Amino acid sequence: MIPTSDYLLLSGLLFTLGIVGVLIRRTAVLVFLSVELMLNAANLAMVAFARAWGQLQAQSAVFIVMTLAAAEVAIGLAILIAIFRKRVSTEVDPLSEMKG
Amino acid sequence: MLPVYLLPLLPFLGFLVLILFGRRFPGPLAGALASALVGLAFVVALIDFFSVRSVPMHELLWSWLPGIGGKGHNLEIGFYLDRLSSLMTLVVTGVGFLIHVFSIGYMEHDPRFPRFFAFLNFFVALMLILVLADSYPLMFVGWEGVGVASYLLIGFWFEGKINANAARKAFVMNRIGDLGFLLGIFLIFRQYGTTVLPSLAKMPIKTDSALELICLFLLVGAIGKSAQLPLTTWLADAMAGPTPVSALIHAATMVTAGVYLVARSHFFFSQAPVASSWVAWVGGLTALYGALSAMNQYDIKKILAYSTISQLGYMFMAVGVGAYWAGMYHLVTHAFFKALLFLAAGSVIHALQGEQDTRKMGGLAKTMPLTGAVGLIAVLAISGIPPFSGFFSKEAILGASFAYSPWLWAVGTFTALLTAFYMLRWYLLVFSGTYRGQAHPHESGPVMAVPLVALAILAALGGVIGPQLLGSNWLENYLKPVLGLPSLHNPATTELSLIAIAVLLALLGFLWAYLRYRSGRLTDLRGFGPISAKALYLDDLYAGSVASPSKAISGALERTDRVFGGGMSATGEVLTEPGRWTNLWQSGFVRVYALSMLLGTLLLVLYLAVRMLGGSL
Amino acid sequence: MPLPHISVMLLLPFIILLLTTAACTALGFLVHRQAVTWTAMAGLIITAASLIPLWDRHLSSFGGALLGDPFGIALSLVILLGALLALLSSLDSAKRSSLSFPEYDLMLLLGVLGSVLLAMAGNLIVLLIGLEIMSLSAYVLATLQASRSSEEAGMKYFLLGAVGSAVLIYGIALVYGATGHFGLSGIAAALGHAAASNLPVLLLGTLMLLVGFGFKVALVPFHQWTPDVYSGSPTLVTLYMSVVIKTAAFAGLIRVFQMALSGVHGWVIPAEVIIALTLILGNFAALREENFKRMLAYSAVAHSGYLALALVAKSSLAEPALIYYLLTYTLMNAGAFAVVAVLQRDDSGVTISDLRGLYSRRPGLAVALAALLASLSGLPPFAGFFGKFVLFSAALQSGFVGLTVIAAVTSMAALFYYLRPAALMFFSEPAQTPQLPAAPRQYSAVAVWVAVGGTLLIGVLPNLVMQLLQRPLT
Repeated sequence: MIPTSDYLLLSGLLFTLGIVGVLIRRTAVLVFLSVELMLNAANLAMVAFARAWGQLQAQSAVFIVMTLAAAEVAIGLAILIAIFRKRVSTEVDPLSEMKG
Repeated sequence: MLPVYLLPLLPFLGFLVLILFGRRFPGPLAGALASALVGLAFVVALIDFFSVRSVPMHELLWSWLPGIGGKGHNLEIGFYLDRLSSLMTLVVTGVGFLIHVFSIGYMEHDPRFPRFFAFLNFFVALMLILVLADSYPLMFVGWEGVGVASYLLIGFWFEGKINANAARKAFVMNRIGDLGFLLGIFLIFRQYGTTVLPSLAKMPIKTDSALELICLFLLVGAIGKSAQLPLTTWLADAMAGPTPVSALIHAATMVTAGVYLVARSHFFFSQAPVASSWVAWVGGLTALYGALSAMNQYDIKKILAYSTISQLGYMFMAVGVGAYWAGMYHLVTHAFFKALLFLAAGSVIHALQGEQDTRKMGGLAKTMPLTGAVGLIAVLAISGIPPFSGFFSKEAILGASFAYSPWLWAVGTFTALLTAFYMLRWYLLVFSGTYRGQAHPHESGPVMAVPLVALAILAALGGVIGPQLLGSNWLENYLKPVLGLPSLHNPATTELSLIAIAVLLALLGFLWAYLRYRSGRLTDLRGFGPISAKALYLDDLYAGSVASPSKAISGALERTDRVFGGGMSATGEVLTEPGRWTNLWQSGFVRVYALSMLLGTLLLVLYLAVRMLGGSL
Repeated sequence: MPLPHISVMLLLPFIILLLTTAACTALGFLVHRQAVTWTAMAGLIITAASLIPLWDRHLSSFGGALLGDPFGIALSLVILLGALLALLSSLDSAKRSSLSFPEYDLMLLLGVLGSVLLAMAGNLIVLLIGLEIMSLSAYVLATLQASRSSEEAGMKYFLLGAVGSAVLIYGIALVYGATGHFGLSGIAAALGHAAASNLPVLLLGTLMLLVGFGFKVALVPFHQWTPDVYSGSPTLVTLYMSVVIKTAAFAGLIRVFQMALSGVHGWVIPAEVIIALTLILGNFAALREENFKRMLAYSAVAHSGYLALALVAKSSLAEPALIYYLLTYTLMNAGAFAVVAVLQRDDSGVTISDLRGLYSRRPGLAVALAALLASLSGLPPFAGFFGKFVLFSAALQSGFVGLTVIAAVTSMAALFYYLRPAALMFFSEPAQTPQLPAAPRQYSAVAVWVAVGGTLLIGVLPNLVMQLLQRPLT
C-alpha cells in the first residue's frame, strides 16, 4: 500500500509545477493550463486523503471540484476568445494598460 | 408647550432645503423662506418661554451609543429647556429673525444668495443646539457647529484671499479654545461620572483643585469662543465677512456662547473661587483692552468689533464675580444694541456701495436720517445712559464687581468712560459733519429699515426687564431658580453713588469726544493713536512670538525630512510618498500580481515551516 | 438508510432565485431589458421576504451543509440589498455603458445565488460551490463590456481568481485531510482530538484557505487585482462587485475561521500581519490617486482591512460588528459608485478634478456624495463612524491593541483622501465645465438617496440594527 505521504508529495510537486507555470508562461491558454494543473493537484490530494480516512464523501467532493474546474474552463475560454478575438497574440503581458 | 426639538429642527430644515434646492428659489424667496423658519422658531421659543416658568423640561430624544458613558449610561441626546436656556433661545431666534430679514435687502445682489441663507439657517440651528444641549458633549457639538458656520460665513466671499485667511485665523484660534473645552469635559466625566447638565447641577460639589482645573479648562474654551484675552485677535479679522454675519455671529450670538457656558456651569464656578476670579479679571482686562483698541480704528466695523470684545469682557466680569444673572442681562441688552450697531453700519456700507472707511464718511445723518437716529440710540444704550437698556445692565455688572473688588470696579468704570468716548466718536465720524466721500448715499429700503427700528426699540426699552433702581428686579428673580442669587450686595447708598459716578463718566466721555470733534482732531489721536489702531500690537505680538517660531520649527522639520519647498504641498508629498511606492507596485502586469500572491503564500508557508522546526507548534 | 433532513423552508430562497433566473432567461428573449431587470428585482425582494421567517429558527439542511442561522440570514439580506441597489442603478445607467442586455441581469442573479449559498454554507464543499458560482459570474460580468479596459479587467480577474481558487481548493483538501470532515462543525469538533501528526497539514491547509479568501476579499498581498479590476470594469459591475462579493466572501471567511478553525492558533499571527499590511497599504495607496473610481478601489482594500479585524477578534463581539459594518459598507459603497455611474462620461470613471465645484452644478448629488464620503471616512453621525467604533472595540477587547492602533491611525490618514473630494465639490469652481450627461436618472438617484438615508438612519440609530444582532448568531 502506497503511503499517503507519497501521494501528498506528488500532489505538492504538481501544485508547485502549476505555480511555476502560472508565473512563467506568457500565453493566456498556457497560464490557464497551469491553473488546471494546480486544481488537479488538489484533487489528487483529496483522493489520497479520502482513501486515508476511508470515506467516500471526499471522493464525491473530487467530482464536484472537477465539475467546477470544467465550468471554469468553459467560462475562461469564453473570456479568452472574447478578448483575443481582436488581438494578434494571446500574450497576457500587453494587457497592462491599467497600472499605478 | 411645544416640543423643544422643533427649535433647532426648523432652521435646520431650512438649511437642508436651501443647500439642496437653492437654485429653485428665485429672487428673495430663499431669504423669505429662511427668515420665515427662524421666525417660526421664535414663535415656538416664545410659547415654550411662557410654559417653562414653573418647571424645566428635559427632553430625551434617543440614546446614540448604548453602553458607552460608563456604569451602564448611554451617550444620550437630549434637550434641556429651563429659564436660562429659554431666555437664550428667545435672543437667538428673535435677533436672528431680524437679521435674516435685514439680509434679504443687504445681500440682494449677491449671486450666491440662497447659499448665504442656507448657512445662516445652519448657524441658527446649531446655536440652538448649543443652547439647548442637556449635556456637555452635545453642547460641544453645537459649539463646533457654530464654529464651522462662522468659518463658512466669514469666508463667504472667498475670492479675496484676505477673507479666506481671516476665516482660517478664526478657526485656528477657536481650535485652541476647543481643546480647553474638551479637556474640561473629560475631566468632568472623570470626576463626576456623568456629563449631563441637570444631573451635575443636583450633585454635591466640593471645592477642590480638580474642580478649579475643570473651571479653568472651561474658561479656556470660553476665551476662545468669546474672543477674550489672549485669544482676541480673530474677531477683528472676522469682520471680513458680510455685515449681517458680523451682526448675528460676532455680536449677538456665537461670541456670547462663552458667557453662556460659564453661566450654564454656574454650579461649578460658584464653588471654584480661584477660577471665578480668573474669569472676572480676564473679563475686566479684556474690556479695557477692547476699549483701548477701539479708540483709534478707522474701519466702521472694526470699531464695533473691538467694542464687542470689550462688552464681552463686561459679561465675563459679571459671571466671574458670581452675578450670573447680570452677565445674562448684559448679554441680552448687548445683543440688541450691538446687532443694531452692526446693522446700522451695514445700512451705511450698503448705501455707500461697500465703503467701510470712516474717514470717507460723515454727514450721513442728513441723507440717512433713520439709520442715523437708530445709530444714536444704540450709542446711547451702549454707553450706559439712562433710561436705555445698556444703562441698567452695565449698572448691574459694575455694582456687583464693586462688591467683589474695588479694583475691578475701577477698571470697569474707566472702560465705561472710554466706551462712551469711542462710541460717540463712531457716531460723529459717520453721521455728523460733512460728507467726505464720493458715493451717493441714500436711506435703505423698508426690508432693511424695519429690523433697524425693531432693534432700536428693543435697545431703548429693553431695560425694563432688569432692575428698577430700587425695589424688585424681574430678571434676577426670574433666573433665580436656575442661577441662584449672587452672594454680594451693596448697600443702597453705595449703589446710588456708583450709578452717579458711572453716568457722570459716560457723559464725560461724550464731552471729550465732542470736544475733539469740534477741534477736528477726532480721526487721529496723536501719541496713543497708532498704538490703539494696531490693537495694542497684540496681533503683531502673536505674529512675532507664535507664528514665526512655529514656522521656523516646521521648516527645520521639513528639511530634516529631506523634502524641499515649504507649505502644505511639501508635507503632503512626504506623507503620501508611501502611496507612490504602492502605485509603482501596481505595474499592470498580471504576472507580477500573481507573483505577489504566490510570494505571499510562500512566506506564509515558510512561517509555518519555521514554527514547525522551532518546535513551538 | 434514512434520508438526510431536508428543510424546505431553508431551500426556498434558493428556489426562488433559480426560478427568477429562469423567468428572466425566458423573458430576455421576449421583452425589453428593463422588464427583465424589474423581474429580477422583484425576485430579489421575494427572496428577501422568504428569508425573514427563517430568522430565529436556526434551521439547517442536508446534515449541516446549509445553515440558516442569523449570521447567514443577515448577511444574505445585506447581499440582496446590495444587488437591489446595483440593479436599480443599472436601470438608467446601463445604456450608457452599453450593458443594456438581459445577460447582465442574468449573470448578476446567478452571482447573487452563489453569494447567498456562500453566506449560508455549513460545509466546505458547499462553500466552494457558492464561491465558484459567485466568482465565475463575476468574471463574466467584468468582461461584459466591449472595451479594452473591461477586457483587461476581466482577464486579470479571471486568471488571478483561478489561481486564488486553486489555492483555496488545495487548502480545503488539506484541512479535510487533517480532520476528516468537510462540515464546519465537524472540523471544529475534530480539532479537539486531532492527532499531533496532522497538525502541520492542518496549519498548511488553514494558511492556504487564508490565501484563497484573502484574494477574494482583497487582503494584502493578494489584493493587486482590485484596483485594476474595479477601475477597468464598467462602473455598475464594480458597484455590484464591491458590495455583494465582498460581503459574501467575508461571510465565508468568518464562517470558516471563526466557526471551524478557531481552535487552531497558528494562523492568528500571520493574519495580524496581513491585516496590518492591508490597513496601511490600502489607505496610503489611495492618497495619491487622481481617479476617483480607482481611489474607491483602494478604499475598498482599506475597508477590507477594517472588516478583517473581525477575523481575529472574539466571535461574540466580532460577528455583530461585522454584520453591521457590512451593511453600512454596502450602503456607502453602492451609493458612491452609483454617483460615479451618474457623473461619468465613460466607464473610466471620474477624476477628482472633475468633481470640482460639483455643488454649483448638481447640488443634490454633491451633498449625497459628501455624506457618503463622510461616512466612509468614519465621521459621526454617519454609520461609518459607528461601524468602525464597534469593530475597533471588538478588536481591542479581544486583546489586539497594536492592530487597533494601526487601524485607528490609518483611518485618520484616510480622512484626507475622503474629505478632499468632498471639499473640492463645495469650495472650488470648476476649471472648465465638463459635459455632464443631461438625461435625468431617477432610478440611480433613488439608489443614491436610499444609500444616504440608510447610512444616516443606522448611523444615528444604530440600535435598530444592533438590537437584532444581540443573540447567538451561529
